[in-house]
Amino acid sequence: MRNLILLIQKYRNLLFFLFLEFIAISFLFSWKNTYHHSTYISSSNFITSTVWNWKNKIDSYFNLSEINKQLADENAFLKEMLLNKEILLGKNFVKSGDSLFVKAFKFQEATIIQSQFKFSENHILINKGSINGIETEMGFKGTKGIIGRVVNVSAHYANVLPVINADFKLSVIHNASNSWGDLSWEKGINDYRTATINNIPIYAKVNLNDLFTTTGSDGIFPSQIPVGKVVKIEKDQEAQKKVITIELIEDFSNIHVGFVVKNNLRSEMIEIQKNE
Amino acid sequence: MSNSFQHIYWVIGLLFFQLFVIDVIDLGTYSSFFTPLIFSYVIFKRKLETTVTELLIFAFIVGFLVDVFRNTIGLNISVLLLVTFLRSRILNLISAREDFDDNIELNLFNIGILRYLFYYGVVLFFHHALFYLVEQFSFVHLFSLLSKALVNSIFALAILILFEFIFNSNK
Repeated sequence: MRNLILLIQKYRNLLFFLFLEFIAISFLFSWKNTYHHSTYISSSNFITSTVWNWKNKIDSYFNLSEINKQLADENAFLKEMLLNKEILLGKNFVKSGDSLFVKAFKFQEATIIQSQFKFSENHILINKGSINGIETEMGFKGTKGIIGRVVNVSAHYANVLPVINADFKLSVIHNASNSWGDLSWEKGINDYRTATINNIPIYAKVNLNDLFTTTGSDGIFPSQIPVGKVVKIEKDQEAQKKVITIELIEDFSNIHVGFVVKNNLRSEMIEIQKNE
Repeated sequence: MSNSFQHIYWVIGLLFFQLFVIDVIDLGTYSSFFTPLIFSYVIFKRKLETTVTELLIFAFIVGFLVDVFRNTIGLNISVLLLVTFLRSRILNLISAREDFDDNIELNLFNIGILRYLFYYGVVLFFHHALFYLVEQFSFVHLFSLLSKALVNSIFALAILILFEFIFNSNK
């Protein structure tokens, strides 16, 4: 017994170090393995989000013209879409309240108060939370294309997992050939302007600058939201697949506003997928 | 007592600079080559007579603060704890024991420019290499990882020397 105490005394620094390191590593893995880790030790907690909010209040003044431009661009784009739609459908033929035209997607404006773009684990913090009706697994769309998915919500703030994080996965569609692929962001290979698409069949005709958009299959995003443009095509002869590098439509170093996408029919969709 | 206040000022100041200046600088495609980690200075500069237990607790708190702001809980704590634990070993490796006094802070004006560059160069490179390794969690891109660590530790060293001249030079 005495020897044991002497041993502990001799190695007390090492033991204390191992104890703290064990706590740190269990933090690390609980965070890496689940999206729904505790709200209190993420950046959407009260204290840190308040600090980020102060910072955003100060430097949003310097970006006002940029924010204005982004919103104006999106406004023009939406107006164009809306006008085209009216001509296509003709007002007289659409019965209001028709069940065919149930509003599936709702959009909620949110300001990005912190965004990271140069690490291997990037995160975004937005200033809308559960009191605004935000829940986890909602989409987050920028003014031009997709940004990410909501993973953690506190009362007034929410964390978004952006496309430029290795944990983000989404199925995307190649518009010209209608081939489906899997979007991912690989550490060490992709920087904040690019992402990788796997599992495009080798016979699909893909050209440079072709557009990839969302499929809408997971119920998080509506279909046809732009994701990125092709910049590099490689062939994997063994798997008979193409590996495509795209340039993301959103510039993640320069995002200030976005829209949380809520799908009213998602629970229905999941129910049906479960029964398959 | 004034000493511990000084540590708190350094922690707040370096964290502020790290989170609001360094982390938001955008250098286009080369952005990942400008992510120096300077907050570890508050641990490396502590006197030799500081006990390892005290240093470890201090490292845990600093790492936790950085992690909670960057939303990477556990990453900075684990790396900083390891570097803190190995600090005295590294010091023993690169210098004879009698080189440093036990009761002085290890800043530029106390230990001289050559030993400063050597000591901080080694510990900062070690910290960066470990950080990127744990962050990527694979050895696949080892060369780019090491070059990233080297470039960033040089940047960190430059920033720290600048801070030394601004805040420590009058002593």
